[in-house]
Amino acid sequence: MLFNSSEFLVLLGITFALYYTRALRSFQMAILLVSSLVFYGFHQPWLLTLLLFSIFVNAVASYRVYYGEPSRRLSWATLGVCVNLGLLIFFKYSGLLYRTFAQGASGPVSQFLNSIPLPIGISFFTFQGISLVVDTYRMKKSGRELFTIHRSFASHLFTIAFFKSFFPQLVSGPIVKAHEFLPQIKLKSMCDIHWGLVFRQVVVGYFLKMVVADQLQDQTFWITPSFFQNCSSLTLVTLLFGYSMQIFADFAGYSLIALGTAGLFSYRLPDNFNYPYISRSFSEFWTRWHISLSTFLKQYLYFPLGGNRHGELRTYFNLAMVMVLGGLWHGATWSYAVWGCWHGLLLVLERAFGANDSSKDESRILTFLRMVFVFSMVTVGWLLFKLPNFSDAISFVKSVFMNFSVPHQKMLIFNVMIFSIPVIGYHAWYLLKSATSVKVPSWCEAAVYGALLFFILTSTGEPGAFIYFQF
Amino acid sequence: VLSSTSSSKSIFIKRAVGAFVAISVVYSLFIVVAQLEPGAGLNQWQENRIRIQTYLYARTPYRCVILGSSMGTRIPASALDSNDINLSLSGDNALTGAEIVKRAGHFPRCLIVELNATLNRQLNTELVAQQTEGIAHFFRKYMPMVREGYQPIVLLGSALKKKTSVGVKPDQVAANFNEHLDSRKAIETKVLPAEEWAETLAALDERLSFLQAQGVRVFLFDLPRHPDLVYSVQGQAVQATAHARFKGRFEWIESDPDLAYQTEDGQHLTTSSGLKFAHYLMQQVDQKLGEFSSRN
Repeated sequence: MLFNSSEFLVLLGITFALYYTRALRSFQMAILLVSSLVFYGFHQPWLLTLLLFSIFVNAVASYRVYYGEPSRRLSWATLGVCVNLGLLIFFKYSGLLYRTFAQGASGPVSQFLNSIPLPIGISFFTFQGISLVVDTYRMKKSGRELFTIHRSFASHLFTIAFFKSFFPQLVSGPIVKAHEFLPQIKLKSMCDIHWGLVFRQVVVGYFLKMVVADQLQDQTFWITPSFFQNCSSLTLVTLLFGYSMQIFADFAGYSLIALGTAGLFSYRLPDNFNYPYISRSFSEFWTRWHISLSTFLKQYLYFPLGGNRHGELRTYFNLAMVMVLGGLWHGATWSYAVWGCWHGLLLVLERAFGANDSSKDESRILTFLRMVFVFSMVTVGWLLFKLPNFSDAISFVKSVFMNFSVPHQKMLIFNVMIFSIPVIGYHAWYLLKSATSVKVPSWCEAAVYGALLFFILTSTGEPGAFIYFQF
Repeated sequence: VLSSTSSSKSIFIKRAVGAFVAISVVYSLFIVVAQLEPGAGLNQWQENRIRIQTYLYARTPYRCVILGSSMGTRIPASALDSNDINLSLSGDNALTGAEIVKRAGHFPRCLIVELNATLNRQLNTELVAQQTEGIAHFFRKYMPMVREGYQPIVLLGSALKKKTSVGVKPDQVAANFNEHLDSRKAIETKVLPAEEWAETLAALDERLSFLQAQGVRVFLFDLPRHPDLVYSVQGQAVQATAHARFKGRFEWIESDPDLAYQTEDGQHLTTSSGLKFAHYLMQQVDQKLGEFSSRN
């Protein structure tokens, strides 16, 4: 079910009404759990079997880690992580392995591997499962109680089912770690809702998704192979710029809607975006873009690999490895691994040249130039998201350098720039607020939100699926 | 403190909603008072939706409606009378347009239907349902401001096009013209199984017959294309199959004997050729309708 569908609004309304009904207060978790299962299985009910299996495995592993014999904790934690990774590899990467190693092979095994469907949200809920098992293990090892686990296995299973299936974050994140979510579970009342924040998140989220991303999606369509060959160099660069704006608006919009929706049920999800396009270094970019994934990779992969504690070379290796795996997490094609390599390389080079410290005081011009440089490199990387086929991406770059004499598609350039303005303004406003003590009167801010609502009503594009759904 | 904070938040939301209502009312009034015409779409899919909505929510019925594919969209509105409309849909064909006309409930005096190799495309049920059913259709019917043609950005884009030459597409042949032509030729060399045509043609026949029964005159035509495509296996097959099915039941508009038309990619007419063909086509229609034509 999509956040921008009418069925979602109906489900949300019913769930909200039941959730805060006084007589049903003790069933709040059950109400949300049922809604989450409806949300996830609405179009493909068979997907529920996989989700329920994942819930069961993680509940067992975390329970055993917590209450089992201390000598067996590591084995249970390892088993839990392996099953999560196994599910992910089987459903997400079988096709890639088949295409890489057995292309052209026939037979039932090849056919089977090639036909495995990708269950929506699997990348997110398996990572969540890993965080549950690892957090529980680390908690027991350190003796620091971050959350408690019910003595009764049935209650624990119910809690984990609630945690893993919580619908605002189920299919595209933010990836909520166990230690962030489980301590929030308690009975809620409407007084707990932070209405102002929820309103802002939902309005900005829907605006970014429905007005900016959905409109840009029909403009950046022309990056499609063969069509782009007829575009001028300037048009192509503008289209790629537009795609960079679109992917931000799409994913940040989705994340804000998720945060706002969770807020309606008085749960706080971690922020996923923090104005990423003003980053002055690539390491800063990864603290601002898809924050829940980058912190996951840092906490559960980069640190265990040794982080930066074993010398420069090992740090470079760790950075590159984390980014390649992070790239592959996005999709089962080698282009995502190359995208990860690209970011890994940028991080390594930046570190090698000592340019990774973005907290230094610099002149405004230098700061601006660094922002533009980081943004440009990140945008070049997005090309592999839009054109996962290498030959298409190379052909696109060739066209950028060859099509100087082709007439510009002025209307297309105009449209891309117009729909990019909100994203540019979103970042620029943040920069202005950080650099000066400018204060906006409340009525003025309310008018801006009124205008955003007006644009949501009148100026939406063709509803498109969220880009990150495919991951 | 908590209660004063929540009260200020509630005031903020009320103010925002108030501003939203105020802007919406002012904008609605502006559209009505200024008698704005819907703008042109910012992309081909939006253009399709605007064409459909313009037709569906017209205050008075149109005289003639052109139905076709992206090739038909090259017939410019500027060459048509104000009571004629081009309902050609990029990526679709005349069948989807015919279904829209059927569902609209108000019928034109004549339909001008493009026939060509796009007729193996199925009816776009999703687009038809999205535009003619549900709560969104209801709102669009009674609130012009939520129609796509009245999106502020669409109106701004259209105004910009009118004031500058930005929106005027120059006569431009695609950089990879031969590649386009060759790939189209390769597609049209294949003989399509009869059933692929049969289903769409039967569906089109059903809609056109229904509309004819409502008093609508139906004219069929084909747009000029590159000669290699006109005489392709599929091009010939469409002609033969359509003639066999529709001959004697609907009227035909003969192809323009002047063959000096230019295409961008073998299929789609350039801007000036589109204009030229539009004049020819509407002259023929006017003659058939027995109306004096001042077109040249």
